[in-house]
Amino acid sequence: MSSILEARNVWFTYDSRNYTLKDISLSIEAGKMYMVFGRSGAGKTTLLKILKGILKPSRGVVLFNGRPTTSIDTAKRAYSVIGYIPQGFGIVSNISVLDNVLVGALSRVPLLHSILGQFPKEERDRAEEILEIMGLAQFKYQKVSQLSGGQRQRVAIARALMQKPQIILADEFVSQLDPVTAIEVLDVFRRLADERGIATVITSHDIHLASRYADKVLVLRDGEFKLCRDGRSVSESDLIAAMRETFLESSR
Amino acid sequence: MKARAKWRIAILVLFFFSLWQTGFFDPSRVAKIQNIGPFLAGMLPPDPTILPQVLSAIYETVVMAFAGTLMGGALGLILAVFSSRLLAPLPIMALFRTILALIRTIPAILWALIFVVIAGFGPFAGVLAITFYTTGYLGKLFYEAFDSVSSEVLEAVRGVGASRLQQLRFAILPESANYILSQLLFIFEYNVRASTIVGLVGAGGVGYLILALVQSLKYSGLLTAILILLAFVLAIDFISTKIRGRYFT
Ligand SMILES: Nc1ncnc2c1ncn2[C@@H]1O[C@H](COP(=O)(O)OP(=O)(O)OP(=O)(O)O)[C@@H](O)[C@H]1O
Ligand SMILES: [Mg+2]
Repeated sequence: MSSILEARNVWFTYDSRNYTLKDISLSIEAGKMYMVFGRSGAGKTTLLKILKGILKPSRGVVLFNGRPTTSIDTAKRAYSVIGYIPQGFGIVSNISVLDNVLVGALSRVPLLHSILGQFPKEERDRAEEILEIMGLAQFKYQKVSQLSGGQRQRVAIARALMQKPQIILADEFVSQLDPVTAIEVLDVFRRLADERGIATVITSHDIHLASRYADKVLVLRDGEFKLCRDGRSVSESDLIAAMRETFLESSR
Repeated sequence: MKARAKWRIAILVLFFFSLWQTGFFDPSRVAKIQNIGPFLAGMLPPDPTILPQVLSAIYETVVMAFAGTLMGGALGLILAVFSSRLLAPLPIMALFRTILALIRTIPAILWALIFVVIAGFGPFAGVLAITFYTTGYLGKLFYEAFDSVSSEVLEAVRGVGASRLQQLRFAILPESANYILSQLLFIFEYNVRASTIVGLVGAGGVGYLILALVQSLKYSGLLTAILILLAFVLAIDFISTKIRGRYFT
């Protein structure tokens, strides 16, 4: 299987002194689910922003379908098929659930029509269908500010799906949910991967759910991958061990 | 310690100098404070016959405030778009922020003078004055509100490939809508008072009436106007605070 998105020997620094990411290589394949673990400050959010193209690598390269995203064309194409859900979901609280989902279609709708709120019928139908799948149909005219955390999360997924994504990047996606809701959300991602071939990258520090869901489990520590294994072959103690050393090192 | 003592003396000297400059040590002027007695006596009792005139002037004031608030709000919104760090390129942003800052340096009463000269006495000049003042004030508040929209929301909406205008329409405006409405209400409340003041230079409304009453020495009518105006302003403040507290917090 060839990779859709690949980070090759990526280094990144915010302040041009300390490297937040060090020589990261990661290949993302269609239909696979990736979970990136790491303690606070390990560089998870930074990694997702590099993959999305919000941040540019200081060294190394990100490839989309084998082409470097340093070319503007490739970067644009990658940008439009990578769904990115930030830590707080980034949904617009003062508009309806349906409008939030339609936002995902903005790059396909002519400017004037979108400003007037006139979305083509096929986009509306698509939004309704996605809302149905995500179990949000009855909320579609409600404002997002009236929804619970789990429901907002599903709105964020729905918006990402509206983008017709090949990849969805989700930051800290299950950490803020109760265990039952977390499992429901992960089930959704598993289905998206299996049925639609959408690759998903989820960062988390909640290790309990890893082995059940992820095809690939990665542990980021101080900007480096300390573990990169098949999800089913990883135990919780492996993960804890891989995440832990930072603490021992820094307390020395 | 010594430097501090020098400062104290300097400020004290300046203080007395300003009092002296403004006539506080001029006995004949200080004696005029006695006039307050006849003035107050002249005001009492308030003249009820002037009531219809006062009410129609207050009505004009509120209408002026309303029109000026909405026009200023609309202009402020447009200028804010070009002043927002998120929406405009740096040179445009700097230019429009400078324009807004210049508009703000001129107080409402000066705008009123300018428009009275251009357009003559009456509420028309008043509305233009309120409009300009409001534009400068709200423009700044609005672009600050735009720029403080959550960067996550913006990143996410940008992340779907939305253009700047689309970001404005689907993220920035909705996220700052509550603040915008609440500030509009607040400035309306403020503008009711400002419309009174601009009237004093002839730009219509109850201020204009007050000016006329003072000039014709009708102090009992003046008291009526002031009392009614006071009640009115308090009522509008009260209602506006209630609405803002209830819907826009
Ligand atoms: N905008 C920024 N400017 C400078 N340094 C930053 C910036 N964002 C993050 N960092 C630093 O980079 C490092 C990695 O941050 P990052 O947000 O990627 O960690 P994380 O693994 O997502 O942490 P968390 O689990 O707390 O979200 C941290 O040391 C952080 O202080
Ligand atoms: Mg993070």
